[in-house]
Amino acid sequence: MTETTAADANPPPVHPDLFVSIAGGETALLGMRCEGCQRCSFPRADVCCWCGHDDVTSVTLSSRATLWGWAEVHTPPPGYHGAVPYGMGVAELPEGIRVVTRVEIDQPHLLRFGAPVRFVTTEVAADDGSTRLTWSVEPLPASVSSRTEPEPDAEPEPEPTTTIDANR
Amino acid sequence: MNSIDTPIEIAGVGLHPFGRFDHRSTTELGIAAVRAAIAEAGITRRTHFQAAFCGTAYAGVAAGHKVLSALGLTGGPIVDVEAGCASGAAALSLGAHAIRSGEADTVVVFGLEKMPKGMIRSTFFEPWREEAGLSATPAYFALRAQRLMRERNITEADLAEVVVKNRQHGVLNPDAMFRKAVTVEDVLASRPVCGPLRLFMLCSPNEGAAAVVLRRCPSGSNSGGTVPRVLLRAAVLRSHLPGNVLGEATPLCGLVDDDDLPSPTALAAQAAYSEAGIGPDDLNLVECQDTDAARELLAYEELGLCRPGENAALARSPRSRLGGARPINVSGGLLSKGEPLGASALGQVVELVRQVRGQAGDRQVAGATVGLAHTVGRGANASAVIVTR
Repeated sequence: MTETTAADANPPPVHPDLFVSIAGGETALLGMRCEGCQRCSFPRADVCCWCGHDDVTSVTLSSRATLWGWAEVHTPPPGYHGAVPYGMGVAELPEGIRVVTRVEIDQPHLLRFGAPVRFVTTEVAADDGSTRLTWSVEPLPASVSSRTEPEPDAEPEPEPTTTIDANR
Repeated sequence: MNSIDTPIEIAGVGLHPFGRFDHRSTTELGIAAVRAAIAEAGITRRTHFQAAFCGTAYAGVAAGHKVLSALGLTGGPIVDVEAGCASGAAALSLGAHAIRSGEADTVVVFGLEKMPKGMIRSTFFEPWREEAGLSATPAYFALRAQRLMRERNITEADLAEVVVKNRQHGVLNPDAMFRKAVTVEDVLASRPVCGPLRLFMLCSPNEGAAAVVLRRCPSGSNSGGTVPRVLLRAAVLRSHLPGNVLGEATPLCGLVDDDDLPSPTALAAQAAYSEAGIGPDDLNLVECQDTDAARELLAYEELGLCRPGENAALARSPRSRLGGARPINVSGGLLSKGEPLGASALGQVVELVRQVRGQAGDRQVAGATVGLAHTVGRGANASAVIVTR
């Protein structure tokens, strides 16, 4: 897989080390896996946000996901200088995590709960008016969607060894 | 005495109405609420209390000092407390701890706010997250509402019913910002903000202040006055456990297996019920966080007021309305009052105190002796407060 770090991209990303471009014009988020609880998370950090363990390794997360909800934002929130309306939602990744993401909303007929999506990049504007790149998801065309459904037997994720414990 | 069993009396309450007051400063709002509360408690000089806690998220440096300076009541410790929408409850919790620790006999707790108009800018978000468009608070509310509707079989009309209920209650509250009843049709015809949420389904950030005086109960004494003694039975603050991508912590990442994860509200409520020895069935009224209509429906199950899935039925039931067995947001809720972050939790407590004293006027819950107040918001922070006569 050819990877281009977003930091090398032009325009620059909103923040370094959040995502990379991969083959086929797709984008993948840069996450991490904790060796303590075996869970993945995003974005990368020195310590696992689920269990506090600091034995973590970087992983490139799956570029395909399923849509787990989206909403259309009509009024620019404070500090946002990009176009409106735009989509904001949650994508569920095969790594067992859900991430907050922009959602491309120009094909609304493909947007439904559970729809297959892929990560892409999209342009936004920074405080100083310059262009920045951030991540987003777009629905996959119906013709390829069947290939993206996660297969039950395909490379099972390691079972988490700990659960989130209310009494911890 | 150093015990959770130390009885604490709410000796006075005060409120500045919630709304928009362009010609009054944040400090002036706070002064009005504090003066009313200390007058009820008989506080006239600085030696009459040993500590003060001020809840605020937006009032800036030394907001509490500015209020007490104006009243000549400084000298003791004054601590500003920020805990998002639960700021006032966090201040209350610290005040109760100060009494239980033995450090103080009497504590003044207040909250105040003048919220900026429009969508709230929060320093919570990194600038890059704002630039990326991932700080849109109404979208988070909408996504949470969608999930609840999906998993609990809730309709947009159910959301509208919550608004109708609270606005109907708000008509009877002279301290509320919106005092006009609305219909389901009005709500569903209001401007879409972020699907499924429409304008009338979202509370308005606004301005206001509230204050209470806490006092260690002299052992074995009765209040002796004409106003019944009101006890603070629990004032619990909790934060979130990691995992829920749509929780009030608004993280960038959550886990898929979050179904059994207790929410901060559930954690606070469980602790408060346990501390007070009181359960949901003992409550005569509940004030809960209705930042948006779906948030109230979620609170029902988190607070143990209904089983998951019965949320909409409870909102539609006469039980949850004035005249019913356990009215919810009889003050009108944030949907009628608006939400001044630092003041809103204490505003709920003022409502509970007036209700159990029998001083709630046209919206009096007949025979009310036990009430619960709940807030939850950014942080995440959640609070549960139980008040009894």
